[in-house]
Amino acid sequence: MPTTAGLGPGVLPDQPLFDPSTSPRDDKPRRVTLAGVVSWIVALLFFSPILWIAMAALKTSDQLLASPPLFVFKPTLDNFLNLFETPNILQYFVNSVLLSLVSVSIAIAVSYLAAYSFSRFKPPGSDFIMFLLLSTRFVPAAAFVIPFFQLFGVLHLKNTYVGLIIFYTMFSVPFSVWILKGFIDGVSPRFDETGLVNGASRAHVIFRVVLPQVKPGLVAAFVFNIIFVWNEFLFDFQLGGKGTSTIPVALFTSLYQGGAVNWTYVAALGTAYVLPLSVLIYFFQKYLLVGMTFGTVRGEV
Amino acid sequence: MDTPVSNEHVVELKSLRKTYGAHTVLNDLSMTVNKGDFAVLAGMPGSGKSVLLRLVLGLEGPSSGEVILRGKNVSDDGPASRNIGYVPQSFALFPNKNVRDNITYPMRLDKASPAAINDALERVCSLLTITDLLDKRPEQLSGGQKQRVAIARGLAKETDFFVLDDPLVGLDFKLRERLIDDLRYTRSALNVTFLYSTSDTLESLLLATSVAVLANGTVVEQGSLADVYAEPRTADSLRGLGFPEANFFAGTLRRNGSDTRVETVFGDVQVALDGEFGAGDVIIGIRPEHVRLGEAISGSIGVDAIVEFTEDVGGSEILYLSAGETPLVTVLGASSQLLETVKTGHVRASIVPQDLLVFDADTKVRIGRGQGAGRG
Amino acid sequence: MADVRVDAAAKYFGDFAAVEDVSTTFREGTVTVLLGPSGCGKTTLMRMIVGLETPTTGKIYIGDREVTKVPTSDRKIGMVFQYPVIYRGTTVERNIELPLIAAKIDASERKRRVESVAEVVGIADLLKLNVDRLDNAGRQRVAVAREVARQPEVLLFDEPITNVDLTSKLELKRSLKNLFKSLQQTIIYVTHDQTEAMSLADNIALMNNGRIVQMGSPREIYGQPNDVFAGWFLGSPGMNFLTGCFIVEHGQLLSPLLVAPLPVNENAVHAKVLGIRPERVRMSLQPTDSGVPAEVLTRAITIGGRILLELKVQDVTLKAVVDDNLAGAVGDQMWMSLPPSELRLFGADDRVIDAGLGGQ
Repeated sequence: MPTTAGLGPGVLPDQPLFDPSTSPRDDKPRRVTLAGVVSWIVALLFFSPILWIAMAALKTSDQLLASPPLFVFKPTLDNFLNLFETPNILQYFVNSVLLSLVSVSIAIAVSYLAAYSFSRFKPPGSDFIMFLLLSTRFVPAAAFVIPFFQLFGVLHLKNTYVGLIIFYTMFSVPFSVWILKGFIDGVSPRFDETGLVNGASRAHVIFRVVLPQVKPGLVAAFVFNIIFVWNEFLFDFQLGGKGTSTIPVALFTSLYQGGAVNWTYVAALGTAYVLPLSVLIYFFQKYLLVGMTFGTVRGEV
Repeated sequence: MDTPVSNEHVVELKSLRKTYGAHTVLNDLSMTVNKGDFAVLAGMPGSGKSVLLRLVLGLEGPSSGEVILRGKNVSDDGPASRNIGYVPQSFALFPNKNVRDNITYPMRLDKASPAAINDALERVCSLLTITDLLDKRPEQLSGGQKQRVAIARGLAKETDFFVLDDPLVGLDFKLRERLIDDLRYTRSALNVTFLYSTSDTLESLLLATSVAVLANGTVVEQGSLADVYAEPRTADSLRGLGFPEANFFAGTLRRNGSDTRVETVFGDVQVALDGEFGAGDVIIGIRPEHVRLGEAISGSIGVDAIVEFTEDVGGSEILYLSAGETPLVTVLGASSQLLETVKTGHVRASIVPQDLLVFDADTKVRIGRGQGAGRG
Repeated sequence: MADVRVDAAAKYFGDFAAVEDVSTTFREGTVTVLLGPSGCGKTTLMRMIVGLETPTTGKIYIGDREVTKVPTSDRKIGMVFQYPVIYRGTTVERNIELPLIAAKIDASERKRRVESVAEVVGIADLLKLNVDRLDNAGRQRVAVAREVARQPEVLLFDEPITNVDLTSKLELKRSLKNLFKSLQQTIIYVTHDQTEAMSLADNIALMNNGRIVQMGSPREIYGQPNDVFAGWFLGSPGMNFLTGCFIVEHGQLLSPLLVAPLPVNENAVHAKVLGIRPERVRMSLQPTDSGVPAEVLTRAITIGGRILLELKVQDVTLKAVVDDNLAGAVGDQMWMSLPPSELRLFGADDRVIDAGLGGQ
């Protein structure tokens, strides 16, 4: 500064502002309230089917079908041991993991680029294109399973990984584009321009400037679509075959194994199936909120 | 110390036109920025300042016309080759990078050597007193600190020309005061050229060495700030430069041979025309500081007014008067003896006719000024 | 109608002291503006008065009644927020009337109150209009009218003008000024804007770092700041603060900025900072008896066409605001004098020192 002999305003406060939202509030003692108790009860009620399946997986067939249901019993791991001796069971797991990871990853990459274009270049008719994209997702899947069945038949894509990956990628793109566009809209174009003016290429702006700022959106889109694909049944049932069946299909077909329902098998497979997804959702639940709101509710991600 | 202004143009815009579909944003716009200027683009929000800067930066191309940068026509070139330092509106600090990486970003993109990057970093940090902040993340900074870092990032580019797009908008008053000093000092210390847009009048006045007034998508007047302030050639210049905003009245010019007059709230005023102008509708403007209170000085004409409201802006008092139906604004220094008389609520507001400026109501161009008291 | 008294109130959020040991009284029938930068504690202090926060220590009184732990609804307080709070989808009149109906006030009294307050706030013509059709400024007027019509003992305003369009700000400020003149309640108004504070306040309580730095009339705080912060925060630009350019010995203050030593009292030996407002610096284009030579470093136009100069006297720089016809060009030599009555001396703790310099 030009020999500012005075104190000048520089010495005066210009500290980060105090933000009450991130500061500890009063240390009020935690009290058990009626509302708290009720919400616990309701939550456990919602959780009870999963709990039942998980418990059933640890029971013998007789215990499982006992009436009234047993809550205290000696757990057994036999069902799981049996499960892994079932023919093709590993194949089902590999199929589920492979199809969901590969197709969702491809979908996220494609969707990110598409969302960037929609957000920044706003091609004519953007809104309508975005609407068309989502259209396959707001009618029940059963409504368009026939055209796909015929199409895949003609193209010899039935019961192939390529075919199902193509389908699930397409299945995952709409929500991903919507979620990611919401996030990219939230990144000011001033960032792009700062990069461009300083000599950056468009690719640099897309991957180095904007991408790091929408990571929560990428995670949200990823988790969201993994859930969809992991749980998808109808199309795998129709378009897949023995070699490409996923666990939901295996669960369904096994229901009728040997003329009667094999409850212990279903319970063990169901539990093994629910577990990875539950872990994923538990750790990324905050991203699900932002995903469901297409990036408009940021939360603390 | 302000650098003497040379006549070498860093930027020259020739008959620029920019349209979006049927919507014309800039039309027949020509202006120049001289080397060493602190050039301020002044204009109301929506007058086209940001679009103009985007054309200079190369973020968009003109619909027609030429952008000449350092003597070379760059109208069709992208932003990367233009070598302009840029401070965008609303900070745009990369949230995933710390302050150091934010500031050195332009140089790293230019693949400058680590030594050169360090030199530049030290230089801008000491200029803007942000050395302590280098390892912080943007979200840990206050508004003023963010803005200083954004300015530092813009300045960290090895170049002679910088574009600053309304960088102080939304900051509180005291911070702006500080940053205005920083910006003035920085420009002269680096001996570079700034092109700066703002819609804040006081900011324009405090920063500019030269000014271009933008209205309706074109530059209506350009020149040194002192000249444009003293002799505005259009009503938009008078309105856009000056705080508080000038007083404007509608009027009708009457001619009787060589005698041209206009009726004002202060009385009938004879008008000296700059050139040819028939009788017709005019806009009459006068700066608040030219509306005087208290003892009438010789040759002045006055009107009784009521004090409606006063606003203390720290060191000056803005007075909102009404003379009959006509609102009038004037300004007094905080130490003025007149403040006591203002408390009574009744004052005499007077003007020297020479301070009245007369503009064509259609073109907004100045056609003359007051000349002497009339029959009233 | 009652005074609001804050007694040794403090508010901590974890280790952070938002408000530290504030004791003050807001007088009935006056407008007190809590002024200060973001984070200075003004909003927290107001929230404690309203009852939206409980003080960590200290007490709050409204009149003779201690209200420290009394819920907001029982404090007889009206509050206008930064964002206009209105009942959407209904008329202006109904918006003002609803709390009165809830308070079981009879129809004729309601009508009387609504009409009189609408008149003062400037919405008398809009009573039948749907509030949705108003802009932010209009809605804020409705919110103000509703709170006033309830006739609470204390009225609080939390930056009510901040979210209003630039063009409507002045009009709203005017209406509030008129309203305040007609009210007898205790009014507490929070803002960070010095112009708003100086234009509306009877008293300003200037806050910084959780404390009230100075309380007094706008003129008093502006003219006689008790603290470096007060001198800096009020005024545009703020006060010049000069250090290392003067010494005090044998009852005299000597400085290259002054042609002759100034007589001062014994307190002055503790002085570390010399302050003077830019518009109180006297400048001349010709040599004067009391003037020292000063070089013009920069020159800019400021409010009302006056000229803001940055000056260099030996190795000291300072700012001066002068009339257009008294300002030199960049590089010119001028003569500067500092009227003793306009000088303020501050100690190492930034507080003013009574050094017997005329103006104090």
